[in-house]
Amino acid sequence: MIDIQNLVFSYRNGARGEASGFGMRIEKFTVPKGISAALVGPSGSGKTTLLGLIAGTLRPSAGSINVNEWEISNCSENALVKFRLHYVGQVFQTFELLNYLTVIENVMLPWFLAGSGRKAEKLERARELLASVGLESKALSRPDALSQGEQQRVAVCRALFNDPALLLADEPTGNLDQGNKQKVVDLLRDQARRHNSTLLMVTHDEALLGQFDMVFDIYSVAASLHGDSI
Amino acid sequence: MIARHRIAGLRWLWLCISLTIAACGDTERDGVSGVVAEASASGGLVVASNYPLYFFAVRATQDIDAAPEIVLPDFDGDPTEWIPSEEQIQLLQLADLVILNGAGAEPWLELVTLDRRRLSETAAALADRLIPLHDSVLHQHGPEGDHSQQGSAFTFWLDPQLAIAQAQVVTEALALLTPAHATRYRQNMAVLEQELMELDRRLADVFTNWNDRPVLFSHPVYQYLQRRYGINGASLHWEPDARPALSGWADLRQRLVSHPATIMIWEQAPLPDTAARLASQGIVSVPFHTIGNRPTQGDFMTAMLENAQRLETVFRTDDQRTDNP
Amino acid sequence: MSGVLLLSWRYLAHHRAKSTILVASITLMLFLPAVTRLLVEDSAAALTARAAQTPLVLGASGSELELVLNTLYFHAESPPVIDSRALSDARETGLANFIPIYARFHSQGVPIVGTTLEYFDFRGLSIANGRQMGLLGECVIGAAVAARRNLGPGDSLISSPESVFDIAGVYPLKMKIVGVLEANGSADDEAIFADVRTTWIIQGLGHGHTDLDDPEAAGTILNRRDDMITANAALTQYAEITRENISGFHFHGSADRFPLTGVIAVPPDQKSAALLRGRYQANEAGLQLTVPGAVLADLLATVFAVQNYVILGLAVLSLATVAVITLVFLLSQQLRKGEFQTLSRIGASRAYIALLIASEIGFVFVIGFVLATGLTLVTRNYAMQILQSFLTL
Repeated sequence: MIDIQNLVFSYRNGARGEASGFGMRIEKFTVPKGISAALVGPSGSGKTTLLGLIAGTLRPSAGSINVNEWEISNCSENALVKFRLHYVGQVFQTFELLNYLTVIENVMLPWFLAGSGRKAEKLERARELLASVGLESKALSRPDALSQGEQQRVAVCRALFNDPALLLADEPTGNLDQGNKQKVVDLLRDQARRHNSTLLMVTHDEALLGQFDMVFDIYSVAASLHGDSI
Repeated sequence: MIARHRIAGLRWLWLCISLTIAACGDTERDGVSGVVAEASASGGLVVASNYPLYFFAVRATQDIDAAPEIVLPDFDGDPTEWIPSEEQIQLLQLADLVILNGAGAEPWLELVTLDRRRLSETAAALADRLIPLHDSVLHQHGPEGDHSQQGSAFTFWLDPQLAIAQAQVVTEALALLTPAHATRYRQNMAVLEQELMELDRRLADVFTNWNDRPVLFSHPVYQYLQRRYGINGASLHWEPDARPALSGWADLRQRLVSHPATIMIWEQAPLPDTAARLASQGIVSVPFHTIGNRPTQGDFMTAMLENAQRLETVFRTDDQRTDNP
Repeated sequence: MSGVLLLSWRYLAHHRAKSTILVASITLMLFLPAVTRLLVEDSAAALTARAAQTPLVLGASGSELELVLNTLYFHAESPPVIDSRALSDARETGLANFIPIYARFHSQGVPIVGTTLEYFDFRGLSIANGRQMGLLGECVIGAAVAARRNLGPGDSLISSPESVFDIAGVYPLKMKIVGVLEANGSADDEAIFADVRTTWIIQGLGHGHTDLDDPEAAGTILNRRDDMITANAALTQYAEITRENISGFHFHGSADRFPLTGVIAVPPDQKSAALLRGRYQANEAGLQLTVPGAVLADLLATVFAVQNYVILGLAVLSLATVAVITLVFLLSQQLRKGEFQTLSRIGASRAYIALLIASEIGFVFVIGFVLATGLTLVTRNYAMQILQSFLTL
């Protein structure tokens, strides 16, 4: 379950993180556990920011963020790293696969970062995931040899590798054709359902909204803030 | 300079192997490989360049255990025309000491590569007593000037006094090589010296009684004998195993006018025809072996004593003949 | 840890061009000063060892360095010579063992060294294959010469004329190879050794020709009177010494005038060495007695000074290389910002990413170091042969 209360976030500029004078306020935002939710809104409205706050890659100035038993807003940096590595699976609009790794190595990237668990078991897990998306034969290929749809499916496999409790997908279908869009959405929803994971997916595609349990409009979740104090 | 080396076991092993492999057809003729087994048990290897030196060295080391092995390379024909074979050169290079006659007796030295430190030349002790030779052919070509291969007479050993001097050089060279046996070498040499002194007295008697009567020599190889006993001699160039040419006989007749010899001394017995023809002219032939090579029987001393015996016989007979024509 | 290493290795392997350039830069940066130093030290050690083994060298007055280089390394074009009388006179002193050297001629660039058997004892040279030279016209060759020219006992070689137009001077002499020396890692490996008299024959100071009494020589006789025979230049002279014609070989003139390029003197003790040096101190009769170790020490002092400047230059270059490599890595990090962000989002800590970068740098430096070490060892192995071939040219 995602629970945000009285959150304030300030956007920062440059390497020194100077206050930009813009921010966001969320009074209350809750996504129950095991729910597949969509988050809609225009570009620049803060959807990616919200996902970042939930994943712990961005820090709020005030308020609380809880994801199940994790108090994200109060965690140390190391704790947040563990949180993302073992608890969260993320899918990005631009896939963000590493071209110097093979497809199967990309799927296993969380294992490389964590460094725990037997390699044989992890390798088998990766093969199963690739097989589930019909890409087992491409295991040893490089990402740039795959189509966009194939790449995004690999990214989904990577996100699902650690059986995450929370799936965050930021416009995963933005660069895909219709057929592949549906495949990706089906994958995410199927995972959420089977593992009782919470799925929060940012999308512009209204045709997909009907497949989600809940749909949130960003403007109903967050209010923009302006001023020198932000 | 003489090196005080001892041959190590490995060198002998090398010599055995190399000579065995390299000299299969020639070992008997070269006489080298037969030496190897004996030398391996001795205190070193000494090579003599001619028979008299070999004899002196053998007499010096006689009856001494672990004395160096004395070797005389086998060669056919005139020793002064000998060029050592490949195996013989290896033997000379391996030797701890090479005893040389010197005075041009070993022209092969100019052609062979040896370690100078291991050479001992007996002529060095006789430098002031050498008899120069002037019978080689001069030749000249181009602007380099004329040159010839001339030197000294080298048959020192025919003069017992010079033979003693040579033997002493040999003894001292051996003493330097194996100092442990020096005293024994000198003792052995003292015995030989006595024998050579006796030989000298015997030959002196022969020629003293001869009273300076003219004698012919078949070849100019008796210079030291001639000088030692004041022999009134003249040399021809007659080969004992060849009939002299008519010109040779004519030359003889001419010689006899000024040099009426009744005895001709040969380095070996001449052909019966030659001896008979000489006899018909009143000239008795008597062999006096120069002993440059190993004699077929006996040794240097026995051969010299036989020489002396023949001279005594012939000179006595000729004396009687002259007295009673 | 293995995850970091795998990711960093994969990154480097994927960006081959960049990785190769970085590795090559580091390899060169480490290799050049190391090999410079090693080569100089190795060559200095070799030069010093050979010089230390050679107590004294007697030769013509003039350049000590040239005398030492010719006598020890057989290296000189037209070296100055002394008469053999100097050798006889020296031997008469009894103060040392004197070994003649006549290193003037070559056979296809390989020096022909005329000497005596004492030289081989002195240098500790032994025969690996065949036998020692025994007759004039025979020679033994160094191990490197044998290997390079595929020569061995039974083969022959010919001395080279001193110049293309040298038709009336030095005679090409065909020499028979009778032995190959054991390799000993010195200039002796790169030389041909013959009896010093053989080298005098090459020079034309000795020769063999048809016997003047031989009918074959009849056409060359100009005059025959008593015991004097005069022949013209058409008389056949032998270009090869064989067992059949060797007895006809002889030398012209006084042997005391025959040339040597140097004499190695081996005194038995310090006192004899001091007496010898005192004897030749005045450089009379155009002779000098020199200590090879001292001469080479002077030379090496200069070499080391130059080496230091070279290494200083290379050090500055290395600093520049390191700066460029640092710049490359920094720029690379800038370009990979997005990749690091992805890793961070997935669950890589800052420390992990720092370790990743450090591993990449570490791989590049380790590979460069290993390659530099290997190259240095290989170069060092073959450098001595190259150095000796330079010294004997």
